[in-house]
Amino acid sequence: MIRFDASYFDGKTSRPYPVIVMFDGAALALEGEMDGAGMKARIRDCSIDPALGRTKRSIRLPGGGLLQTYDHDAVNAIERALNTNRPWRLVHFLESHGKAVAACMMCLILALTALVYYAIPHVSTRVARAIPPEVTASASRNALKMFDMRFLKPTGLPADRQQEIRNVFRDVARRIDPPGAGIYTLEFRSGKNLGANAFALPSGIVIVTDELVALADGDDELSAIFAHEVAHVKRRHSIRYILQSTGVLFLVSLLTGDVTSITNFAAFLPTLLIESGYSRDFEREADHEAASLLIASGKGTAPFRRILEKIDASHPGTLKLGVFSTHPETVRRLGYLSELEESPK
Amino acid sequence: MDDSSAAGAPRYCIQCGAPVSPVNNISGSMERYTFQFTATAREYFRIWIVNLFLTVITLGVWAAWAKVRNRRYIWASTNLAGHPFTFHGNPAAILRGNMIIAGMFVAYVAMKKFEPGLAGILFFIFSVVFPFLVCKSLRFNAHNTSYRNIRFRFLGGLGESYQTYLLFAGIVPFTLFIFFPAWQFYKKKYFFNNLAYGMTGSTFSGRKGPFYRAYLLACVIGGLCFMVFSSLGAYAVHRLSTVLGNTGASGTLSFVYSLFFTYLIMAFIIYALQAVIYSMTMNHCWSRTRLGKAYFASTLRARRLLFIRITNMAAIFCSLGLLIPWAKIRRTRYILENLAVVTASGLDDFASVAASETTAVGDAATDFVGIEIGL
Repeated sequence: MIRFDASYFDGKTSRPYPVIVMFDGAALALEGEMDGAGMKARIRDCSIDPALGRTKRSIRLPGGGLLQTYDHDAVNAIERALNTNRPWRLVHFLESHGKAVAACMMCLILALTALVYYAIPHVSTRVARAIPPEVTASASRNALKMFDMRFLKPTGLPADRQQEIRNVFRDVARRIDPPGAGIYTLEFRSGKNLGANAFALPSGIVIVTDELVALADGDDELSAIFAHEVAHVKRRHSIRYILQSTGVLFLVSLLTGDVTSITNFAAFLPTLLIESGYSRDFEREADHEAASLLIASGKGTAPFRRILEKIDASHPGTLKLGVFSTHPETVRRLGYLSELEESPK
Repeated sequence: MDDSSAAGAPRYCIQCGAPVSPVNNISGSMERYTFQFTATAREYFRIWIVNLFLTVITLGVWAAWAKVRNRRYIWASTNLAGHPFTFHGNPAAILRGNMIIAGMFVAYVAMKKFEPGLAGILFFIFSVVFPFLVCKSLRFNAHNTSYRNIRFRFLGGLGESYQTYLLFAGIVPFTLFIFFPAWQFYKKKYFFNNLAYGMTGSTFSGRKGPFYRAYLLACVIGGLCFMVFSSLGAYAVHRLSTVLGNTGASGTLSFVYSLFFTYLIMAFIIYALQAVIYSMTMNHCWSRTRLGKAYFASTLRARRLLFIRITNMAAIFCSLGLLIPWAKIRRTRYILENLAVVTASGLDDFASVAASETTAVGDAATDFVGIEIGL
């Protein structure tokens, strides 16, 4: 016989009735001063709300009545006797044991690390391969239009010089990405505030600034830059970046889902951190691909290192953003490239 | 409880017969019930972290169950006159809602990145669907909250939701945001005027004035803070760029960085000042809301809430998010323990809706999909 004090609510008015509940193994009997005192409810017809911290336990009676009590031992005993709420009892077990909570926390950290470093990049690489570059055509055209409006001016290069560089570019594209070589086109612009720079749009448009062309001594240095940019497109870095940031955003929204306002603002920083990390990974991948091409053609990574150094020197006063930067530091890229030269991977 | 006579009818002073303001003049027979919040950060942290772990390893499926678990804890720890609130949300319904939201989010991202021209159309579709979702979300949450075995309800219709969240929201930019506080007022009105506890419906007699006052104050404080912080920031960036070598290229660069810092400072100030707006408008809204014969009194202090918000943000940041549960409990405790129900007739006489009505199709549909929209 289990006996405990509870508050009874009939579900018709908000009035609480103090009652004494007795459980004989099959039915609950209520004793108190209210209509239907002495009523009995078969336990099979009742439902017990799962335990949650040390908050009040609720037992729902057939006919809409409710019992609430702080007597956790009594309700736990009834629950065990009935063997109900089993999944929730497991969750409650985890929540109420310090070691289990600590284990969950460690596993959570491991799971998050695995997702950020392995699962999200891996899955997005697979998905990106299935997405044809044509999908990004209109977005790339719009991006170029936006760049033209804000940062770029028409090129000042003579037509025959342009043609020479185009030939170099076509050659690089054919060697880096033989099956997809047809999609790559080269655009010349004057860099204005961007200075010496080159960038690729996901549909295969590569833009090079006049300032960069002027900086390069010979075609080998330009080939290195082109190889780097073509590698970005070939490896679908733009699409992967979109997919991976969506994945991170999804993850962050899972982590902060329940707390609406406080964390949205704080979540901005880790998201930025992870995304710039992905961006630096892509740069390293593209560097690697460009270096492999240069080494295979017998030129070594020296031309690539020379042009990187010159580009770096042409942008003085760049603030070092460290973990928030989209590109690895030039010193590190140079170190990585010389390492590759000594022991190609 | 016979609420038809009470709802909307003014109260009169027993001695002199003059109308009694529920806020300033509480007669002797009135009783004041304050909310008690019994949650502890320790207990909530355990529930939060275990369910977060389950959510992550199930790739988000458990999120619906986690939400129910967390919310049930908060509701069950909220006591009024010795009895707790209960959250009844069905995880499966919330899972369906989460899937709808996730689908909309993915569609939006894909459109924005791959077909930016069409993203506008999608935005249009969302803004048309949004008021519908708001209405459903409010209904879901109210219907799934009970106190003393009587459920709350939200009676707001779709018409008012579309008026508030589509028409008024659309007007705001064309009035140079002068209409903005009024819009916030209508949003609160939609909520406070349409709640019901069992058979007892709420009435709301709030005014737009306090909303304009709150936003004006926030704008003045925000403007001053922004001027101070951004000039400090600009000076720091200027010094930094002189140290690092001053050439033409770094000029544009420092411009970009100062733009970024400006944006960050703006976001921080706006976020912090929401505490001021929240305390002022919520105090007003509660004091102008009646539930049958019951009144409410909210005594939040803007400065205290602002302090809690800033320190919470710092704590979350420094603990890499581990203090999120602590911060949430701390803020909820302050808000709830400053809210009271004031009534002369006790809390025992509220009647529930007859059982036949609760099984109506509308409520079943309400519980089929649970959508959460942060308002």
